[in-house]
Amino acid sequence: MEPVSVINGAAWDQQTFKVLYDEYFVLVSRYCYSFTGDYEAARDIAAELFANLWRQRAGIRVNTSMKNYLLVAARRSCKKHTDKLQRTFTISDDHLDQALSTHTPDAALAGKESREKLHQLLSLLDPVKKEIIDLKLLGLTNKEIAHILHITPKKVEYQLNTAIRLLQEEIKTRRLTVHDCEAGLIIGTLVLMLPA
Amino acid sequence: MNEKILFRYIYELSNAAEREMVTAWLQQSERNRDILVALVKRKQQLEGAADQQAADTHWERVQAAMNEEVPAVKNIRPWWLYSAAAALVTVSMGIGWLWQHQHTPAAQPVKLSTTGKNKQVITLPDGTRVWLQYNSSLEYDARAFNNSNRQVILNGAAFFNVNGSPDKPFRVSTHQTTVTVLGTSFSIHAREHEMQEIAVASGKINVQAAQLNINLLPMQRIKYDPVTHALLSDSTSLDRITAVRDNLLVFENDDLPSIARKLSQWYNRDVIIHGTPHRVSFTGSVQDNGIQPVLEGLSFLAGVEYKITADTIILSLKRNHKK
Repeated sequence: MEPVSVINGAAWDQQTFKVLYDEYFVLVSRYCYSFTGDYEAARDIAAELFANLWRQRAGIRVNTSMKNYLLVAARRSCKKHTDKLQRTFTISDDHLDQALSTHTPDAALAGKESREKLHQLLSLLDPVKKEIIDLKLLGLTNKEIAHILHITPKKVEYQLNTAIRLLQEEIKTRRLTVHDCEAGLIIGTLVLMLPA
Repeated sequence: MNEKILFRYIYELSNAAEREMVTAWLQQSERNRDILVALVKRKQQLEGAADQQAADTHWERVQAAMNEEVPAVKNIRPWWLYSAAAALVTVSMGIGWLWQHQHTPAAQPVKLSTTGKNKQVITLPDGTRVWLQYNSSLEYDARAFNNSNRQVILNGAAFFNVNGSPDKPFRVSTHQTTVTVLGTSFSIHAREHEMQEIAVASGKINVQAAQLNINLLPMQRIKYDPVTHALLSDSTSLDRITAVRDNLLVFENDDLPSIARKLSQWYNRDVIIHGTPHRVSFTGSVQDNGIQPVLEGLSFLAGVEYKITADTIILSLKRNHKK
């Protein structure tokens, strides 16, 4: 486990808070996106989170790590946010694609099939596995993920390994079009060349 | 496929054996490649949510929230308490005035210090601005400072922009040296048991130490060893001098141990070097946007691999660079 150091929010001044913000805003936004699927909303939630953190700093005492504290807080506000969203309207996949393409022109350029594949593939998994994969992709260690989700690091490892196995098996049953293969091959080789 | 190996591959942290395993796995089947592509795409998608630029634009909003805040009054006291307090203050000020005119003024020491987590920009009573680097402290006597004696004591590193005042010289004392100026800007790196570094951005300064009395002009820099009194003077570039003010971290022909020492000073964490430090020499500057981005930049520029834990940073040379 991480060493316990008590961080006292009441002692923050604008300078220390800016340092904190600079260190974690990007990570928190990315994590929020994992829930919202909307870049703008994710950044909004993250900014609001930090603003609230400042407003309530007098009562804040962090006795885990700052990273853990922030991500748990982000998770909570995202859940609240998506609950509210679902009550008013549901986001269709179409909508999501639109949001994606308007914010990242690059993503729009990437073939629609690869985006579809991505959606289909990872959406085959249950929400817990999906969340763990997202956290892992954000660069967190198994320990850190375990801490956030209140499970053991072993369980995180197990879930990830199972996820990979399930994906391998699931796709076995999927019919692959020639198109799929081509795109996969091209991107696959590109990725292969990356570390060289 | 083991998740550890796969994700290490995605993060480009694999060693040769691991890379081979992943390559073999990818060649096994089309679907394995699909999984990797899906994961990498998802990673990019997540990372698209925000970058440093987004952080900067959203900071304004957070800052607005910080500024709107009114200092909280915990409980409202009846009005007469305030007037009583005001009366008391007036009386004590009167007494204080009398006292001041009978005795020599007492010192009002002010000490401002930064930790490994924060930097500070200080405006002194005379309008002089001081950019205090990590783990540094600035001390002065507020009463004497206001009268005539503009003197501060520095331990650590700082950039000074001194407000001009011809009849009141500004003095910075460090452990071994004293810098006297009228109205200039300059930087000082003076930590205990270390080479001191003083450089001028504008104007003229005078540096005095045990066996030293030297005037420095813009772009000139001295390195002074307080123990051996060895002096090295050269000229340097303006952005190096103003690095502290401009929030830059500067490296100059630094090898791995030297980079490690600088990082541990800036961020107050133990820096551990793994493996044999090959000869690397790194010159350049990194915008100080927090420890993570700095190390990210360093790892890219200097070919250093890093790992951050709560109180230590582990540096090692990239495996790919080893022959």
